[in-house]
Amino acid sequence: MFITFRFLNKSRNKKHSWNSPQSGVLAGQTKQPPVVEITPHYSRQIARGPKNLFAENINYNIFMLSSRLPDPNLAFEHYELGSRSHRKVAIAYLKDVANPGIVSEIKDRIESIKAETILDSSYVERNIEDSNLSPFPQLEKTSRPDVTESALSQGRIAVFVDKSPDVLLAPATLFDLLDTPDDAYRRWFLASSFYRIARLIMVLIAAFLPGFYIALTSFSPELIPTNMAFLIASSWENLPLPVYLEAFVMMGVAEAIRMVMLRMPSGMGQTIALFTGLTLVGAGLYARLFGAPIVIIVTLTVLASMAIPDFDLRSSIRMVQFSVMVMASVLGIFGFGMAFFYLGIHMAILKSFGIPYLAPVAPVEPSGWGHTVLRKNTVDMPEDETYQPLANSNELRGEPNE
Amino acid sequence: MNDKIKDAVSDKLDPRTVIVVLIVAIVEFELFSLSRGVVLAAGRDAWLSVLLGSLLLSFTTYLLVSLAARFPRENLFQYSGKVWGKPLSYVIAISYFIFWAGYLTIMFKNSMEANRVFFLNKTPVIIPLILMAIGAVWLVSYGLPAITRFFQLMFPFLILPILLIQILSIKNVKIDSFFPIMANGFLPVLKGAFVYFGVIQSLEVLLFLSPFLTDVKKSLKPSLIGINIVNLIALSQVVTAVGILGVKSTKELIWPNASMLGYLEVPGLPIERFGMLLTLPWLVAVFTTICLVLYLLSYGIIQVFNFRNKKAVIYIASGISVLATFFIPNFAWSMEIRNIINVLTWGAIFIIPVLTLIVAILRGKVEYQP
Repeated sequence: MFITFRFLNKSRNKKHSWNSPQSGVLAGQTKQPPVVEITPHYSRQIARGPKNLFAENINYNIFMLSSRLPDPNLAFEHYELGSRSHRKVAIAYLKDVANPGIVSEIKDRIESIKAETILDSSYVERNIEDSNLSPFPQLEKTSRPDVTESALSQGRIAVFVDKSPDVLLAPATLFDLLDTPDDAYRRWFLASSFYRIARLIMVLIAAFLPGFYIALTSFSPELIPTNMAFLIASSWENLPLPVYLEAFVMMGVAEAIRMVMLRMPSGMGQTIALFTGLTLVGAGLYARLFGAPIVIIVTLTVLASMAIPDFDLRSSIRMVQFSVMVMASVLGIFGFGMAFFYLGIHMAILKSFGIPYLAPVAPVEPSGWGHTVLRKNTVDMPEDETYQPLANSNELRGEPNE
Repeated sequence: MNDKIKDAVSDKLDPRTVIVVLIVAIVEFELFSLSRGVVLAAGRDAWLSVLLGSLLLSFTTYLLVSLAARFPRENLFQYSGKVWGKPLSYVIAISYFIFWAGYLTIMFKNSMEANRVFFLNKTPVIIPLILMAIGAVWLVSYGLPAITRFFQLMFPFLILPILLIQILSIKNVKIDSFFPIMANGFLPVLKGAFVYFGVIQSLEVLLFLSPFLTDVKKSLKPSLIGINIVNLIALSQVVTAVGILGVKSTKELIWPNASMLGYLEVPGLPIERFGMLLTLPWLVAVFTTICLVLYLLSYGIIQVFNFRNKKAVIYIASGISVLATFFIPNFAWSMEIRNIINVLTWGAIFIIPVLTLIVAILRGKVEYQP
């Protein structure tokens, strides 16, 4: 997202200093906002809910948060990172809700960052996440103060980085990354639950559908229902490419179109992408370079991946999708199954600041399903123990367990 | 990965986790062929055998949880020294290692055969085996909490297709196939129950799960629910095999429940090949059980012999098991070995634990609590 702003008046918060590292409670101290001129650009459209966004100035962002959440337990701790850039970084959390073990872990990891420059919050992210080899992001990024407030109320910690409008939220599970503000603001809880489940199904489609198609058609056509098998077989007649190559080429073309859409100026990019896509598909089908089934599969996959709200997660799922396709192309249904297991294993062992990445589904914690997998029918934020782990919270505070 | 706060934050398991762990751990390759073994012993009364075996399994589960509850922060290998004395505890540990190594080998062998028959008949058998072993080693090296999370993730993919198949099958069951009841007396039913009990490997995981549970005493109910869901699945497998295929065909087929899928028809549904529904649960069932048995074997060896290089032991244990599959000459041999393992299961899940419990009670052994 892009926000342009110009300071007209500096913050009057004189107590706010940035010696590294120091801490202090800021809630209620920032009485007047720094006046800024903002041109918001929404990277994610929402139908309902606050439209305010964070800016690229950390003081302004902290003011935004503390004005939304004037709680005496709201704590900020400040750091200065980068031997050249001296970038201001702050963490925010609710002292009575956040898990002290996670707070101290985040502090330790931030303090251990040795970098010359911190260009963006993503530089902090890759230095503090549990595994930067994992394709899956382990921190949530948001430019919305309401999402940050909600995260803090759950016991999570926000990391603000000056010159970056994206606030990092930690820990983050897969379900946090699949969450959209609409889910919380939609009036009817059942509709929100429906869309959340639908999004999960779309993640599965985006990751596995092309691989599944390759495995079935190339190795195990006997598993396809007869009518469908005949339809697919008739579309293959006289096609020059085998199914797996056809799938790779088409997925590659879809990726190219997506990149054009992202990088070109918005109106022109969409027109070029649409025109190119239609022309390629039409010409390919007319020339019988590829069959109609693969066009359907690729279109479904691209559509499904667009439903993933987090940019980094979306990119990861695309990489996963290609890996599954490779395994399925080499070893059919068995390879598809193994790719599925490998992904499952990785997600089962992955943690974000000690919280299992798939919580509250694996480990199962039904009390957390109210605003992760589903949405509970309540006026309050549903109870969630995801960030209040099962045991040892006393041990983390240095107190004996009862 | 940074594991600094891993242990402190969340690696304790809720007792309710046991339900999923038991189901995913026990259900494996044998589920799709157990009907044959039970029907060979009990004929058309196989369903009675499963019911009788289920009662015995529930009672065994109760005894296993009672034993684990006496030593809530230790596993069997840790407290068997206190109960039996050091020399006997080593004998017990080594017996378990041999049992698990044999079981792991036969699981790999069965996977190899099924892969060759169903999925990859032109691919060298070692390739899928190595891929499975790599996945298992990777997961096992992160310990039991990671394994249980993986089990919970895989649970729906295992149970939902099985449930769907059973629901679709039930209308094809011919009730006449089950009459007359006990025409050959009670003895075949008893023999069938013995066979069924032996099929339920991995129940001993209850004795190794307890140190990870927040409250072992609360795990009795989930354990009983878990084992009885397995019993229900087994009962439905036997009922549908006998009720659809008949006693004679069930005895002759190697995988009767897989063959039964050919008889399924659902008018109006575009699904005809129900084999596809069984592919995923089959793969999930086998892989998850391999992971658990590899964990029990390798961590047991690490603990008993105080090995420091954990990963090396896991790699060696899986490597030896994969290599051992090539010393089993054919499928008939693997079925014979499987039968032996089914008999040894009695020792692993019943005789040793129950004797340990009795001796612990007689000698007044409980975990030392300061």
